[in-house]
Order: sequence, then structure tokens, then C-alpha cells
Amino acid sequence: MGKYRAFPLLAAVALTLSGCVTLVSNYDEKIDDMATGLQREISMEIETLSSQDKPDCLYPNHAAFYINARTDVSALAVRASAHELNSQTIRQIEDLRGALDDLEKLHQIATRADRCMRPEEFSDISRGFDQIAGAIIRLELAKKRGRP
Amino acid sequence: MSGIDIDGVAAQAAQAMLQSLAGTGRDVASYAAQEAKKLATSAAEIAQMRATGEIDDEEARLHLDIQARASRAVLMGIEGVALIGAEQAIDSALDVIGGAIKAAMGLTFLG
Repeated sequence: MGKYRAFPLLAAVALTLSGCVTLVSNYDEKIDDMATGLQREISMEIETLSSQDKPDCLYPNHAAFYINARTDVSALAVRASAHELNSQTIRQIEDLRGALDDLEKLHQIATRADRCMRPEEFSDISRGFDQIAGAIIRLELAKKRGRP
Repeated sequence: MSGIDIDGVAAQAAQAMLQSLAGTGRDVASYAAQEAKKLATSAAEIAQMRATGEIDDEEARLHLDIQARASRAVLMGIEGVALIGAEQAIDSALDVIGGAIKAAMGLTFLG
């Protein structure tokens, strides 16, 4: 019987843990779709902006993009916040919002100087946004936990 | 480009990232190295633009902030994936415990 002495304790621990070992929220297809849509929207804007000359490239001609993108990021943040155990995704979305603010300020600075943003500026900006959106999508897919 | 030793900076940044992520495994090490390299490459490009006067200090700061946010978002993703890995490790342990309990006592509450 001695070898079974630990089983009641083991059983109690296992019972406590059974069915509640969740450290990260479950997969949300909506977040996956919204993040993918935002990546496309931002990528298209950067592509457009990098190919334009004055006056098309100036901030007032692109203000609608920032309003739309910020609205979409807010919707994504609300969706992510509705889930428990989702702090990593929520922080990723905060960084996406912050990067969008940075891009808008860069655009405004260039426009105040009566010029387009420099062509050399776009490669690291594009890489940065792709990394953020990619990281959000990759984490969301990992939440499927091997399920299709 | 701007005299920055990208590989050296990348290795140091990767080491700093690895210290923060201790215990999360080989995938994390490789991921951190990639991120450090991207961050160092972007920082060198930004420094070059600043050095040639194409952008000013404020613009350089904003560019760097975008890159810092990108690296942080990736690292948050790694943290999330590592937690999911921890879940799976606990589940595997519970399978073993459940099997032992079932074999010894006939209880099947762990499935």
C-alpha cells in the first residue's frame, strides 16, 4: 500500500489542473482576419505613398487613410480585449497603433517641409509594419494549438 | 554603411534578448537572433539617413520607435507561443499522471 500513499495528493493536484490548463486565450478567426486586412491596408498605403510625387504625397491627401486605419486598429483592440488571457496580443496591437502614430508624424513632418517622405525611408517602415502584423497573425494561428 | 558593426551589435542584442527569454528553448534563440539582426540593420539604415541629412533627429527617433515596436511585437508573439508550449507540456504531464492513476486505482477522471 505504501507506494499508493502519494496518489490521493497526486489525484487532487491532477483534478485541480485537469481541464483548466489554459495560459493563453483561444484562436479567434476574427482577429486573424482583421490583422490580415490591416496588414494589406497599411502595405498598400506605404506602396502608394512611396510612388507618389508632390502634391499627391502630401499629408492632407492621405489623412483619410490614418482615420480608417486607426479605426480598424481600435476595433481589433476591442476584439482582443474581449478575451481573457490575451495580454500578448493586446500589447502587440498597442505597438501597431503606436507605429501608425509614428508613421503619421513622419508624414506630417515631411509635409510641413513641403516635400514627400524620402524613398529611403520606406524600406524599414514597411519591414516594421510587416513584422508587427505578421507577429499578431502568427500568435493567433499558434492559438489553434494544432487544431485545424 | 554608417560604421556600425551589424553582426557585433546583433550578437549583443540577441544575447540581451536571450537573457530575458531564458528557458524558452532553441526556437526562441533562433527567433531572437533574427530579430536582433533586423533591428540592427534598420538602426544602421536610419543612422545612415540621419548622417546624410535626409532626416532630422525627430524623424530618426520616430523611425527607431517603429523598429522597437516591431521587435517588441515579435517578442510578445514568442512569449505567447512559449506559454502555449507550456500548456502542452502540462497537458502531457497530466496524461502521464492520469495514466498512472488509472493503472493503479482505476480512476479515469483525467480522460
